[in-house]
Amino acid sequence: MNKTVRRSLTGAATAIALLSTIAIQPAHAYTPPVPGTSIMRMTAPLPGATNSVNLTPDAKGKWDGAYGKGLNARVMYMDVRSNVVLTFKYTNAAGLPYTNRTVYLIVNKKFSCSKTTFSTTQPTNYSGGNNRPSPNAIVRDWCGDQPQMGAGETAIQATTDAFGKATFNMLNFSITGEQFPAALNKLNTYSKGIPCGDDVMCMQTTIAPSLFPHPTEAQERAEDKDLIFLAFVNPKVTASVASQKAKAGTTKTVTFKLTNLAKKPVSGTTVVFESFGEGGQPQEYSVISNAKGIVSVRVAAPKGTVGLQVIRAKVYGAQIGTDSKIYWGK
Amino acid sequence: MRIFLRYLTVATLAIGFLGITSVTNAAQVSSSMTKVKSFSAVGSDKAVTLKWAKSASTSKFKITGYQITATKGSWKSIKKVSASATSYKFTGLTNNSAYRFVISSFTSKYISLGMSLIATPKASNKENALEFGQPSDMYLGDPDQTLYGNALSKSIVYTSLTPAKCSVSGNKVKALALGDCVLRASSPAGNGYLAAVPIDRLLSIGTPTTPVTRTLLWSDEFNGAAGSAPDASKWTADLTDGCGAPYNNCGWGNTERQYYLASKNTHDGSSQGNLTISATRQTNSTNYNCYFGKCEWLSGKITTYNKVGFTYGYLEARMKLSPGQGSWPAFWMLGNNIATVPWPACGELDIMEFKGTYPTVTYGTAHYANSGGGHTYKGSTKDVGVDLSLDYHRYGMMWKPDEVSFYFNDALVYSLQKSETGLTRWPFGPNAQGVDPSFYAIFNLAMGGHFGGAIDPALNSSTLNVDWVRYYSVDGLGKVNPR
Repeated sequence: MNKTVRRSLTGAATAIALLSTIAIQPAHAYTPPVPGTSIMRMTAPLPGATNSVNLTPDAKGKWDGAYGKGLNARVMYMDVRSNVVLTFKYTNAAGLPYTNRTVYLIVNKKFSCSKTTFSTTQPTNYSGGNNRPSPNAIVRDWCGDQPQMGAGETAIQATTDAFGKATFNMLNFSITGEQFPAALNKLNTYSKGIPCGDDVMCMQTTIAPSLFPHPTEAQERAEDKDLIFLAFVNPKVTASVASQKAKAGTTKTVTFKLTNLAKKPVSGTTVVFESFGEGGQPQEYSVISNAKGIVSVRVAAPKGTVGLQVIRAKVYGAQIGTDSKIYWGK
Repeated sequence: MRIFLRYLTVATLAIGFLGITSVTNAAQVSSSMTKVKSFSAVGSDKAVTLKWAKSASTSKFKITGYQITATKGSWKSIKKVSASATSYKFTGLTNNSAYRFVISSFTSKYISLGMSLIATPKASNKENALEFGQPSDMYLGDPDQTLYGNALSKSIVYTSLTPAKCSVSGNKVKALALGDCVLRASSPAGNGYLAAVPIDRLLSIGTPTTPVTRTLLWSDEFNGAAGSAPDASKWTADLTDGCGAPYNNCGWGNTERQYYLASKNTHDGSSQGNLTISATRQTNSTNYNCYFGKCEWLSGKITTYNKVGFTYGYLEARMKLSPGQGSWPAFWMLGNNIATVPWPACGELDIMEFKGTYPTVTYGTAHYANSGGGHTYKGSTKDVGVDLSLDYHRYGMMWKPDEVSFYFNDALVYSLQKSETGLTRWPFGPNAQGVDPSFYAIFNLAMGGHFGGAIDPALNSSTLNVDWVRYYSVDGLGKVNPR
């Protein structure tokens, strides 16, 4: 299966059917979308060319049939364990806002296999039985042949204001995230696409606004909407020195800095260290980043050591690390 | 043998003693004069900064200045600076081109042999970061809205991507037509930084609703003289760490780490006029003892308790919040009946709370007693996208008998209706006898505690600045109570 197809799953049964290798629903014939009777767009953060990846072309002629004709599909990155605040605008087809109306944001959309977990202080609507610990919890979606399949979908409820806008808050509880992306408008090289199910490199949720907590296929086809794939990423780890020389018999301190998507320091994150090559083991197995996002590890090499040592720093749970090299010698 | 030479500018070595190839002025070159020492250069964006050690005068050579020459090919620039100077920055240079710089000291008659080096101006690769606060939605006819942003390079340009809907002048946006206005904040390359990725924000422009009449009933503009205390007819300072009468609430109920002093609440005397509440870290030699041992922080808290009370209406303050992990400034209210109806039954309205750990987030919360008398609360946060400790913003609360709503720069943070609490009566509305509540206002700067969290060990001080606090009735709703 090529990457384009693998990234295209949306959570709708119709869409799933198109993905033969992970199909879990009977196949539906493709039905071209028609203009919706309602429009709902994300206005904050505002998806655009610099801060999101446009997947809309992937949907054309395929799974866009599950939505109104005005479907936009985008990937956006978020910091793992951050508070996510999203605002959507709900209007009729003419653009007139729906005011003072109960609306929803569907999180971990059914059959999306989203692994992310959240809490929210807003009212929620959940139809997945007893698969969540509390009304504030948004649990992962399950896929494959698991008995809870599709039971992750949670609708957060809000009321639109005078401009047709409603804001949704949720705190991400994922223990670890995806690798930090090369750019906000580039697909993450390290994750295996969307959906990525149990892929350890992937931590994403599929979200969509709706006028209904759990819309039927017909209801969803009447909604022109922004379908958003939020990928939660670990902090970026940067070595303060990429490589250095050191005298064998001494101790060197290697420092790394953690920053978030806004390029701000990330404190309180556990970083684990690995060592390859010459020299002794790092004197700290793991360190929690300080207020400036800094972690430091000490490394020593016995006298007479000659050669390269690679110190690798990984955010706890991450698969990919950042290296700092030490060339030991006389 | 003393040799007098003409001063020259080109040397064959990057750093060192110069050969003699050309003459630049009429002063005689003296090899007896000490050459300039510790000459160094740092290249930056289209510039090179030169530094040197000050040359000492002697009885024979009284240094009156330095001559610095920059050359690149046939281009040459000669600058003279005073004898007290120890640095000079050449600007307007071409990046990635090597320049030779020569420095000599001179007297009224002689000039020393030159020291030279080569340096190359280079654009820095420092990464830029940009923040752009979410603007509030507007109605046609609204006053222009101020946009808030922050960039490491200190340079932000705002533009409208929908000029038919809105226009931008400087950092002000004007609503022109109904619809959605998309604004872009950019931070171009410069000041040693790369260009930042632009950020777009959308604000909606709607038709005006029924005009609201606000009538100013009470205010404090904090225009007192520098160092003076807040107006005693309006404010009382809360003191100590909360232990002992009349508070009997060690750590102020939240294991806070500060000890309040009246002297920490002062006017700053600036042209704007601010109240400053400053928190300062203490050493082990402090004379102040807290419930946990030697006090770690001194800070301030003022209230209108027993002086001014408010019932309903709109209360707002303009503030620049206190930075630093562990800082916990707040603008809040408590029921005036707290002495007879203890917290939480008396009610608490937190118009603004802030954690230095999350400098772009403001909290709005209502605390009250549930039907069983236990503490409960409802509230929310707003991540405004800009560091709230960098600039002044307005934090307000609209209070009605059955609803409280918290605002940030007129944008809703959180709104709570009595019906959502499940209570028949709540402390923010009339009591069983139909008597309306009266609340008093509070400004304080706490450090640490349950909400503030761990304090950055490197943080030694932090200041909450309050430009003004104003109280209005809204369409006739709202009144000031003398006590």
